[in-house]
Amino acid sequence: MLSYLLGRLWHALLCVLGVSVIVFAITNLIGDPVNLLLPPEVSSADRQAYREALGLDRDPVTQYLIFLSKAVQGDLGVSYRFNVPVLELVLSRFPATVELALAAIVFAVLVGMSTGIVSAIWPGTLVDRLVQGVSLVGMAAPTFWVGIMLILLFSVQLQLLPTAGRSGWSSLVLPAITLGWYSTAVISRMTRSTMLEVLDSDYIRMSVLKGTPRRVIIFKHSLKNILTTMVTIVSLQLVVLLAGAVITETIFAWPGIGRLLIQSAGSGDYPVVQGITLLCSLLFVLIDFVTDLLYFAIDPRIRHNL
Amino acid sequence: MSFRLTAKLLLRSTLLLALLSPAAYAVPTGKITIAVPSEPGTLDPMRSNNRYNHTFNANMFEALFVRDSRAELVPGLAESVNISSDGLTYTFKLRRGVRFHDGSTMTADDVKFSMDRATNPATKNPMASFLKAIERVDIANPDTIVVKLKERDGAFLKKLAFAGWVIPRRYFESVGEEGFARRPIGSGPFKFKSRSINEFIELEANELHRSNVPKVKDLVYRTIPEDAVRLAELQTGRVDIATEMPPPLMERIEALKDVKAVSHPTGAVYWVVFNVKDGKDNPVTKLKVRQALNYGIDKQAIIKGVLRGQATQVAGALVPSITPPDPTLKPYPYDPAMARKLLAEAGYPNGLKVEMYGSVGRYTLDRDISLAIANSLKGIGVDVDLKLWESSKWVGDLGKKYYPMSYQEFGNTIFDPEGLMIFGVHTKAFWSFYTNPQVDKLIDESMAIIDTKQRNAHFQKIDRLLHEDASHIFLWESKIVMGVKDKLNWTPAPGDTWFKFWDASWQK
Repeated sequence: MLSYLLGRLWHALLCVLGVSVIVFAITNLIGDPVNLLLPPEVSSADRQAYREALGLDRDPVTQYLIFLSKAVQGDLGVSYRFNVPVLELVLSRFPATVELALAAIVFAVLVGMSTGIVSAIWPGTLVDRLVQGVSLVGMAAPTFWVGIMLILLFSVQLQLLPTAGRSGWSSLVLPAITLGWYSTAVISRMTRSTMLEVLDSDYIRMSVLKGTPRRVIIFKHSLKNILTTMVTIVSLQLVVLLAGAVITETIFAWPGIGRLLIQSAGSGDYPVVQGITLLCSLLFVLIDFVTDLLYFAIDPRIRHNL
Repeated sequence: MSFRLTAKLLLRSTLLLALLSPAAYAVPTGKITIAVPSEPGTLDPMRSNNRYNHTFNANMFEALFVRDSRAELVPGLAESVNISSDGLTYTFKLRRGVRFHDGSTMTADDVKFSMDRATNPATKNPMASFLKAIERVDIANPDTIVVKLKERDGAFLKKLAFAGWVIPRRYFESVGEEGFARRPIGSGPFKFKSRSINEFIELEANELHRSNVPKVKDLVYRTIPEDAVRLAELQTGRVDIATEMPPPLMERIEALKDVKAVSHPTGAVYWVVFNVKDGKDNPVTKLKVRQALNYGIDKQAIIKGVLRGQATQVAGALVPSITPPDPTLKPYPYDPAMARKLLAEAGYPNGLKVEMYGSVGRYTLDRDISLAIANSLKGIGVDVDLKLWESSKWVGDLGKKYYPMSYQEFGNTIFDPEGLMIFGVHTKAFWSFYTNPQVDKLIDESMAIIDTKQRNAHFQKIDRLLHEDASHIFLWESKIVMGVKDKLNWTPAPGDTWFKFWDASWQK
């Protein structure tokens, strides 16, 4: 088991390193941030001096090595725009993103799993078709459209919830639903198909014949057996939610790292872009790792095979 | 008596004195919340070049000369200035008893320290180029600051009012650069209360201000990037002003209850920049082609159709809200027949093909406008090969990539055409792709002209030359659209986008 874990850790490290190279290369391709940072009223000579002061005159490989050697020591550089350490800036905006992603995943799991189970128990009925239809729309509808529609309905027309910003629990509702919308649909459909598969298996049929109550079959035997699949899907969705918050955060003016990322990319603040992507890839690798550990806990087959 | 107690007593007695003095003002009450699409970077006034910083700076800090709420240039931390006859020595008499937000008194030392820091290359001040003319700042006596210039600079006071902010030295040195950016202190009408990046900035009335004590107590900027969401926040009453709304939303703002639509000239000129500097066989190096392109665009139709009337057509580079253009200079009319005739004379009887670069997301409706321009030129047989780039890529490539034509803006900074001329027109400028020795010479001469009337006349002369040479396709001065609560009394000065809020108040 230890060697298995070490192997996973090694892969994770390679993955983060790869991401850092790609991001560094891309930010270098976008072009010169100096034009974005300085007003037009600056001469070419002064532009060059500014470039040198930021260390951007060095070749990309040297720049990358400097970045990497500092990153290993926990120094992700200083934001050009906010003039504060990148790590501090990102960490200050991180709780908002985590809060939103967790709220969205809780919404997605509760609504997605319950509708999925309902669909699987009564396949082919009106309820099932309704759930299938709504979840199809949920997967197809773009986030920005869902967000604006929710705002128009719940904030402008009904005046029930705030439109934008982060001020208490009520302001979390709409962004969480918007962000969790897609995942809810995915989880719902996956729960349904996995559940149907389990309900069709021999041991469940055996229990039915034995006369086990339906309640016990569904909530004890079936649910337990779809859990491994669900853990995989939920962890994948959580990663999507943490990374996919860019649009939702922009619509709802939610002060998380998604918005910081898009804003930094637009204003030439590349250290922040690099910092956020690096930290996110670390986080994803971590979630992946925890998911692996969860398999051990849930599935005795994996435990015994290793 | 402990030190703290003495300080408290002192503060109380000064507050009492301020209240009792005949010039006592009404106590600021109420709150204004403004929804803005983006926000300042660092709050250090010497480290940032972002237009949201300029608004923040204008309310928080003061310079020797400042722009008041009518955007007039008036003495700020200085009481008066004496300019030597050679125009190289500016002697400022400092205003006495000016206090910073922490209650400390502003001294000549603070002024010198701030200006030295602003011009020191080690500061990495993106605005330093505005103070380039400064050679030395000296304290002649505790009430007098003498600024020596390397060369005459006719717009020097205007530049001070834009980039010459004064900060308290003692406070800055005790908290350091990072600490200062976290909790900035100035002497302006508003003082800093709190900030959360990408969320809000809260300011509070500075009741110690000698003359511009704000009428409202709290000023809150909320960053809301989505246009439709800013509008929804205004509609539901959670903000009082929604700025930078796209013109197509004008009618929806007007339809809202208790809200007025305000259309505000920005002082920015929009034009199509020709690259006549480099590029061989480039048709736009020919005068007749440039003139034909000016005649060949139906600018009024674009203003009406795309911008919903939110722009004022211009004849040249000067925009009405900053420098009065020569009234006898008329814009190129829309005349496709004339355009075709000129093209034929230039050797293109069957029209021509030309590349035009445009940004997406940099200026209001930039993509739509670039498309409309290309479409309009089709009418005179000009086939525009439109290259649209995402904003940061477009700017990043500027100066590296060859753009024969590009749709651009040149914004107002110091309420003087100098920036535009030196940095947008002059051959040496980074953002300029135009070259004309006669114009360059006149621009160089403008540096020495301090008198406003003479300056305006001089720039009008340059403007006429540019117009005649069709240096650009001259389009318009833009306006921004805002939704403002009916009950809010607030009128920003034309051309001023560094909104000042100390005169704003709520109707009873």
